[in-house]
Amino acid sequence: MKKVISVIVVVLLFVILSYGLLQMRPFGEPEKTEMDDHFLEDSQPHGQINNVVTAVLFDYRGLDTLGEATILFSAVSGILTVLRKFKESDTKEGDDEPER
Amino acid sequence: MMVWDILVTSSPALVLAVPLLFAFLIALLGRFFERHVKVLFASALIITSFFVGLMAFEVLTAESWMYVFGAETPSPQNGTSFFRIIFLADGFSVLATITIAIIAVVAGIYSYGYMKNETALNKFYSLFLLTWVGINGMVLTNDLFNMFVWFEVTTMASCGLIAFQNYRENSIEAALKYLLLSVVGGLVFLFSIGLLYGQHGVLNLTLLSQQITGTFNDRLAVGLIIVVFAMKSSSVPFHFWTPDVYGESPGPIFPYMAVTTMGFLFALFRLLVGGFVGGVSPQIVGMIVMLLGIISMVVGVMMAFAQRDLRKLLAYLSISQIGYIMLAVGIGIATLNTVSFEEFGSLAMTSGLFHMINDMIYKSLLFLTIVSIVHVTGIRNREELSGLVYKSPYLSLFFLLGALSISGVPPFAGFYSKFLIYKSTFLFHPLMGLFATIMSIIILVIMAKLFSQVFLGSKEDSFDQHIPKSMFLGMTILAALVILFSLMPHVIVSEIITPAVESLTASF
Repeated sequence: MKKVISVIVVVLLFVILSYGLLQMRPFGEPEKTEMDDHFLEDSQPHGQINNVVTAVLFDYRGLDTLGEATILFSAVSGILTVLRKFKESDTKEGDDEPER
Repeated sequence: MMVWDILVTSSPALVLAVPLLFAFLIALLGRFFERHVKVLFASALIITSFFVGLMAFEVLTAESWMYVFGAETPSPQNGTSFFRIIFLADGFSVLATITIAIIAVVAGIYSYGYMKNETALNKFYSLFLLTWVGINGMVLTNDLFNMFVWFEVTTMASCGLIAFQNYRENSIEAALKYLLLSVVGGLVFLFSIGLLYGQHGVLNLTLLSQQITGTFNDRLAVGLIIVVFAMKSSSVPFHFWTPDVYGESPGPIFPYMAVTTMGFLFALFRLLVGGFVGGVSPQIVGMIVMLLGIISMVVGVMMAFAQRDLRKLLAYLSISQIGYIMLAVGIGIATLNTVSFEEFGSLAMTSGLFHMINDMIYKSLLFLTIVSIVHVTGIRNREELSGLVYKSPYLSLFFLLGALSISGVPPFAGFYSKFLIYKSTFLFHPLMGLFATIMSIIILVIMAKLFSQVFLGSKEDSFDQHIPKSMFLGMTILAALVILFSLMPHVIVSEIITPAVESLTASF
């Protein structure tokens, strides 16, 4: 029963998303191109950055880049937390896991 | 004076920057100066709360403003400023950041006593602050992609917190469950952002709200976003992770996860009311939110009724409270742009937002009381406990305060917001108001049964352990806030909640 429901849901999602795909505007032609134009024209005179990608990544969207770095940092901290050594009292005998 | 002005103007950014800086500092220095980590953590809590208070004071006494990242001046100069990332400092973000800050400070204080026997505390404090950064970013931002970034930060950091006691298999399992669901949810959210950005070419929510017209893809994206955020805010039918995560995380993380959940709910309301519903019929979106609320309310209460595990029981009650909030705000959204918004729609919105901060405070008090009981007795089954009132009268007083509030008994904090919810839902549909009232009565029955079982009854000498002072301090702060909310609900509604509703529905 569970499998039947999952299959139905997947097929339904597939149909809806494919219909959405057909309705999409052509790639790179959104309704308003002001934001794109602004990035292309403004990044050199305003930010003195010759590479538009760099300008977007580190100037216009700099906070997002900081946030992405924070995601990586929290993921690594989380993994280190989970993989740290158990408390002394809880460690089983002969448990020779490497430190940390 | 000059420096003060700059501090005030950039306080929305500093609310994120300060805990972020301290999170990195604690992770970096924690290995070498283990004894100073606690001092660093305490100063992070104090300084961040100071900036939250500064922003709140400025917004509530003077005016709200926007903070543009990376522009020459922090306030928007012309139309092109809206292509940068913007943080909103308005009534709604003030309400959200205050709610988060209260619980974060209390959970931080509580964790001093609770976690004192754990190792690697520097990582715990670092992850704690990173989660705070994530939630604050989510409720402050007015930019779709930026919201996704803080969504992921919150998810990643809180997973580490849930699994912190890595010698307990259950918490690892809960963290894994939460991580898998959240990552899938995050990808769906990213997909919806892609759909909207591909259509409209803007990411700012205010600009988007002027362009969104309700084409098939707009509706698809909004629907997917509602599903993702309903999942993250533990609404039925996406609630299955909640009892595990709430039940198995370390003690102070129990209320902290609840406030994370509430942060996702704040973000959902910002997205829906501030961004989407202007173009995608408010009636349908409001009805969906309302429906999710009603199901959560009923299922939460029903599941709590049969629960024996104390922490899981509270997790289900928390789901039912989320249901009340979604029901009220759903009515507010459904009546936007109609005559009935003046009649009862704004009242419903007010009651929903008031219930968010109110519920968070008394719920956390209940959570911390139960966590303290589980901590000192080591028993989680409610049938094995009895006579705790003889052992710890203060704990039972705190529990009673929280229990009477959550069931909406008249003079206590929960009554006023719940009464407003009954009133507005009754005006929307009489049957619904009746329903919400009945659910509250069942909650009262559950709480009465729990109190008589756990606190009254025969005296057993089950625990001699002492509850650390810092844990008591955390609960005392919350109890004082519950009493404050019981005594002057009118002041809080007019000073904090009304500006929040006004700024949220400013474009209608």
